Amino acid sequence: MGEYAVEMHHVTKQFPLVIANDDVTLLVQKGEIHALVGENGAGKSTLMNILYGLLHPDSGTVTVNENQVQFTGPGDAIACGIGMVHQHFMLIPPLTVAENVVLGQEPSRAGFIDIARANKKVQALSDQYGLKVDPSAKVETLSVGIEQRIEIIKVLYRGAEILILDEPTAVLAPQEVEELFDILRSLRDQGKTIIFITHKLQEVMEISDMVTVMRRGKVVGTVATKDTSRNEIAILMVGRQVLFRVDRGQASPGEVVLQVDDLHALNNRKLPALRGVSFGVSRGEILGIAGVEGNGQTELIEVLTGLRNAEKGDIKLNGTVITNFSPRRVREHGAGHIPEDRHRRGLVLDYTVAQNMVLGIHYRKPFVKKRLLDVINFTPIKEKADRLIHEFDIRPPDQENLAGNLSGGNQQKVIVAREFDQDPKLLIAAQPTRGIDVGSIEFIHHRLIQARDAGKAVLLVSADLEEILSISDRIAVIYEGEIVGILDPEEATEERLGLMMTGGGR
Amino acid sequence: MGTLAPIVAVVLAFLTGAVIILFFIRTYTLTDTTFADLKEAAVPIAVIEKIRSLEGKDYSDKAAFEEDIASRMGDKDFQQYGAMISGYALTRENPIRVYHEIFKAALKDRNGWGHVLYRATPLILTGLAVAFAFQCGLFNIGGEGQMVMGGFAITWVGFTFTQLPWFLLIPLCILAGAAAGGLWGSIPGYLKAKRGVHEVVTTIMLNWIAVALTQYLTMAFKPPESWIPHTYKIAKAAQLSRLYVYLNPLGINFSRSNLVNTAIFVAIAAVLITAYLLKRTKLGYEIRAVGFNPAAAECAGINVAKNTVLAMAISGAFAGLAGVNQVMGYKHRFRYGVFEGLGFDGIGVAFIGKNSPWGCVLAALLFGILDHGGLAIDVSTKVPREIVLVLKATILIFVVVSTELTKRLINILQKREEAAA
Repeated sequence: MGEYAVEMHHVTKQFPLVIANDDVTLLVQKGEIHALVGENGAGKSTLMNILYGLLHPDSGTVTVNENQVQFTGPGDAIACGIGMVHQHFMLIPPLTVAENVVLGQEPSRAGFIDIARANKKVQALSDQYGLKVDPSAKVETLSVGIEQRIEIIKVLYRGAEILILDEPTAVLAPQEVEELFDILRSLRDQGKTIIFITHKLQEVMEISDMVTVMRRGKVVGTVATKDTSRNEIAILMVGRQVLFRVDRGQASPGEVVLQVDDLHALNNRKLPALRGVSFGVSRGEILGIAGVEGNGQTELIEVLTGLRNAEKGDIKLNGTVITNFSPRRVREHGAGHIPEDRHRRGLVLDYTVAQNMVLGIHYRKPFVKKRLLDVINFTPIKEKADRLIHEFDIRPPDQENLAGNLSGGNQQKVIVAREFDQDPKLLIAAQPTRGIDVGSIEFIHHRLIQARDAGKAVLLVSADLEEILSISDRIAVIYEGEIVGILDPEEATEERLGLMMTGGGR
Repeated sequence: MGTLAPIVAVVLAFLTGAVIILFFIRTYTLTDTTFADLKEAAVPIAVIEKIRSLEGKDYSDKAAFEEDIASRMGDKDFQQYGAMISGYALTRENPIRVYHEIFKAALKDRNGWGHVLYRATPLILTGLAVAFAFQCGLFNIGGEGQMVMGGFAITWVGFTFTQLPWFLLIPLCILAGAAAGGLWGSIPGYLKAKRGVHEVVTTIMLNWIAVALTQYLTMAFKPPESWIPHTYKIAKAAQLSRLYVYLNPLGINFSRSNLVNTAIFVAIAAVLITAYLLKRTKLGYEIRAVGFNPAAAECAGINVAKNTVLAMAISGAFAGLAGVNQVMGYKHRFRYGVFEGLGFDGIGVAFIGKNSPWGCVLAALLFGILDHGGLAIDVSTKVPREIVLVLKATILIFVVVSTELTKRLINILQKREEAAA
């Protein structure tokens, strides 16, 4: 056993209403590649921001190279040899590679920047670690993969011995991922310590020596990669057992409400995200879609709600083909939608709660009066907002409050209230309980089951296996843009789901 | 706190202006008091008499002043007394007096107010144009272009349909101005919505296309006998009355030469329409939702592209209406000179007015006061009227800074509260 490069003991960090890190202990040995995995919101970023000095822990200790440290900012962390490669690159496109690297610590001669020396230094770093970067090339002419290497050179230039990489492969093409891994191995072999944040299990298995899995702010396991399997990590990541069973009766599915056939779609980078998805949701049932994030869930929801065009395939809602309809027409055909990102898609944070309560139905009667122009009719909006605030227990109960001032749980309740109140035939709920407090989670689960019992078809997309297992009537597993199987909850054992979610057992 | 920022900015700008006036505006003048002072300071009478002929002459340049007195008194005396004389002859302006002159000229009587309103009218409209687009998250720098396109359309209708009675021709002219401005504004809106071209780039480019185009058209419709680059005159029926026509019969004495005209009511109507559209209609709700969060608006079934084009078209229509004041109310012909810069000033007006319709009115009035009062200080003080440009510019800078400052102040206060809790 070598010595530890990083030791974080019993670190706790609380944000209003959410414990981001709860008694977290992370030990990283010198000269290893340590993968830190977990779903979005599991607390990985918070933990790394603490290590990098961007956040201050409420309690717990951080030890770097056997010296206990108290960072007041990233400057302290850099001085201790910690470097962070962010997911979003911070480069200045018109400058050259070397100019970007030395920015802030320029080698100078007689008060002028010594570009020749900068070039030489960058070239030396590039050669040493096999980064293959031309120091005099302009950044704007380079590919994303190269830009990432420049970021790595930047932290090496500042003397980093411990490198934190925040989801470095998210932006890379498969070929570039391979090249990145070669670089990481070369860095490790020359004594650097690497902390690698990801939620892609295949990468964990391929590159890491040790794995620490986080879930809901806690470390649920640290294992040596060679002693574990993808399957095991997947189960650790999404939840081992159902903590609380939601009280519910048997589903009594009726006729099919949503029918999806052979759906194909591209992601934002024009690569295939959905490759022939087919499934159906009937009235009176909850179909859960389980899967590790980034396997096409986002694109599926967007295609279903009209936000993204399908390349091929059919979507039928109540017998009508709604493929590539506008979002408004999809809604008018009876689909409600709880978006996965409530800040980006679900709410206008600068609008009041009342204004958000009619977002999407604001153009309908009685919320507008038809005159020369459609004039807003404030009374019914206020009545609706007051009723829903009461019914969904939204706090503070003030409809004139800006949505941005509410807590995450209450913001989510505003969206849930709005979508439920439209009485949709199909309810698409994407990550409906992500990042909110336990009370709100239970409330929303309860509401989803009520909706099912009232004869609605519910499509639940969630990265939280526990949520899927506790409220779904059938479980579809998505992997790399395909539904690899649809199971009943009884046959959905952890092992089987874990295998399916990682592409095995097809 | 939000409304505080512009007020703080105006105060800070006036303070900065005062510093500039104190330090950079110097005048060298020989007056009776200067001569008396020099006598007391034991400068020989003979020397004083030599420079007596320069009495009352103003120099803003120290070198010029010294050259002149040296040529009068000779180098030997100059070496001995020159510095002392320059010292006594130097006078500075009192900034408070300068500001007083500006506000006195603008506000002391009905006539001043009239001029201020006349100058504020087009600025209200071009300011509204910027503010309205901003509500949709768009930065419309193209007010200048939309304004001249509207202005030319008004003029063309005005000198083409000369047979129409006033009650048809005036609304037709106004509509033409709004339509031309709106059309010109919808081009960058369309390019943004459909092609993703940033509106700042396209609106700036379209400004100069519009200016060049209208100048070309001006020459095409120039009366052959005219030596001035302006168009034919619009029909009498298309001309708006100055306010004295209505005020004098009511017993309110108002100067016939005061340019304020009924176009002010068009501007007020535009303000009311904007406030109503934004706060009380479905259109305003959608436009603001797109402005705040286009992704959420899209998800809620709001057509982002359509609202972008519409917001730019309405914005351009407001800018196009500026010609109602400049052409129908004042010049009765099209000439770029009577428009120049009003579109760009609209950006400042919207900025200071915090993009709210009534804020634009207040900011336009402030600009009107400065523009009209600036004329007065040219005459009554030694400060050039360009100080008004300095004031406008510093107000803008301070609006940016003070918003950020107030934000940081709030942050610090909140942190302190958290620490205490």
